[in-house]
Amino acid sequence: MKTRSVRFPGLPGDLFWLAIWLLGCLLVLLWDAVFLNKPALIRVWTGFGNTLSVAGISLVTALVFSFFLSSGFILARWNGFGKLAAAAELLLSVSRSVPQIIGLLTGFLILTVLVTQEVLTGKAGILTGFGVTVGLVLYYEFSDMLIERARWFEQTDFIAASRTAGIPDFHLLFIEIWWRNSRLHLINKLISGVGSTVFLLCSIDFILSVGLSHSVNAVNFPPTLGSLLAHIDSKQDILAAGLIFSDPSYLAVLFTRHLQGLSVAFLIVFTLACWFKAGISFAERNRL
Amino acid sequence: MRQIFLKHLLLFLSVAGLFFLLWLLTSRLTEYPPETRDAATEKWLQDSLILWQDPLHQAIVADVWDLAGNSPEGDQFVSQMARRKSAETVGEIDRLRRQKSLISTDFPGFLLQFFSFFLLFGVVLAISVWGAETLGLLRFIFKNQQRPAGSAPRPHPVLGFLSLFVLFSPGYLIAYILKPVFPSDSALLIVALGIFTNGTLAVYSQKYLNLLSQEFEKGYIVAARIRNVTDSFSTGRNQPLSWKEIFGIRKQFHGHLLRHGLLNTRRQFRETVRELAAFTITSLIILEMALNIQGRYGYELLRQLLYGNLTDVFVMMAGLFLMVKLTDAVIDLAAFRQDSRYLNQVTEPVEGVK
Repeated sequence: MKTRSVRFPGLPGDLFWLAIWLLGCLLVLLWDAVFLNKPALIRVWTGFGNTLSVAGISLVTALVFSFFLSSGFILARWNGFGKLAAAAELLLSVSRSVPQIIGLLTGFLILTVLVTQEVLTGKAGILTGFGVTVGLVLYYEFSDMLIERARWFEQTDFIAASRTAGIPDFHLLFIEIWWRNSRLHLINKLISGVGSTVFLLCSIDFILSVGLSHSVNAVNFPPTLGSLLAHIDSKQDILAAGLIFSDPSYLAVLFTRHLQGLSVAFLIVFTLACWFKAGISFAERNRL
Repeated sequence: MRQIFLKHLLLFLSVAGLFFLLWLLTSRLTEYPPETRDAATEKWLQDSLILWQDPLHQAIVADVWDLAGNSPEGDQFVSQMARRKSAETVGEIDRLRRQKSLISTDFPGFLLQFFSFFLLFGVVLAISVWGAETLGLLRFIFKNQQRPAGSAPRPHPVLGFLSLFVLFSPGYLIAYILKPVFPSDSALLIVALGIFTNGTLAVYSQKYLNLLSQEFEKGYIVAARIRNVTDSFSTGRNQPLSWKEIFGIRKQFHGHLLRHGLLNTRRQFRETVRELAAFTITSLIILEMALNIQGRYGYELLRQLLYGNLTDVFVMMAGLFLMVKLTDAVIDLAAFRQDSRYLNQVTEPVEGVK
């Protein structure tokens, strides 16, 4: 069953939602360029760029880490290294059970200490630190998927037959199972991972900006959408949005007078919603 | 059954050990080397009559210092002293703040916060599971109702956009918008935000829908249809699927095809509930921290983090992990009972049989 967009026949649903996301972001940029002052405009779009960069880094981290852990676990199991496989399974089980906020807070605590001690310096270094932390919190979702794919093939004769035919385990796992038969699952995981990463990053950065340390704060951490949302100007803008409940006529000026906070909030929610929809459409289109 | 609890206890202890190691590591890293002090400058610092931030006092001290022929120069000496005095004051404030450890000063208060958070978590998790199941089921029913193409119930575009906005908003964002009309420290609001925002309901109802749809592609469903088991998805009072059953907690649907599909889906959804439990804790902590709701577990965790009371922080984090492990144990127990009932498994040795 191929899902097509109702509004644009011929365009797959996932691409439709990604196009909507790009178009929506472009419209917000244009609107901001007209109505938002230049320093705030630069802040908002730098924050958006940083957020997407961190999302990219965290997905790569999660992918690489889960790839090593899953391949270690599966190959250990296939070759009779039971204790090694049990250790990897224990690590996975713990990662799955630890609430993400604990992992994030612990990670950001270490990151804060590293920044305070000036071990981690520079915008790129700190953003990479953010990405790696979020990636390590999310990696188990990728590992679960990779292991589940291998298990699915284990239920068939495919693996036993291939090993009997002399195909090396590395080729069987990396090329035959993961590359040729699980690429679409991986892409789907990456699409849904964007939403999780953006949500977790924005939330932890929002909290961080409320105050995690005396010496490390929003001033010496690069801005992301989360820290921008915690900015006092943005908070006032968001609070102003609540005024429409008591004075609906305020809606007319809301989108020109309180643009910084509303742009940041819209970019977060719009990104989460569009990437979620794109993930669902991709899974439906490819029957995953 | 004992094995279930032992397994979770072992995992909990290993993670608690990990936190202990992290505590050791971070407390080492945050230790600063003691500053070297000499007696002469110390005497100046102890003089309570000198106000080191006052320019007049600074000028007088600098002149006296220069007249005595000391090195370095008076201005340099004064700025060094002013910096040290200010650092000492900040250090003292920091020290006082660090003393406000919740666990060592108010242990009953800590326990009260822990249990009220546990209660909040339990309520939000239970309603979220019910909500995800109900919404997933409703969407499945609408999808399977025989209607002319394009006439499936769809919300008004504006309503659709608003619901999408609420469902995917971080909870604290909605709380800020609602602040003029709703106090953000209300437990009711936190429960509502924990269920409806952060993508919880949208993501987990979708997962439930996917599992249910996959279940209905299996052979036993096809076989049941051939054997004429009721498979009409009409809803209403005198229809095969009543609203009471759809919105009910148990969702039995006796005599309907859905009953068997739902039983098997629920079994698979258990794994997702574990994930949901961890995510619920994450969203509630984020909400309490972001909204600065004083006297709550999440806020206290942030406060202890801010004051650098790492012992409290790691104990509180272990408390959160304990909640997840307890939830896991309850889910495993439910699974054990369900498997014993439906799969006819002998899961524990029978006495006297070797």
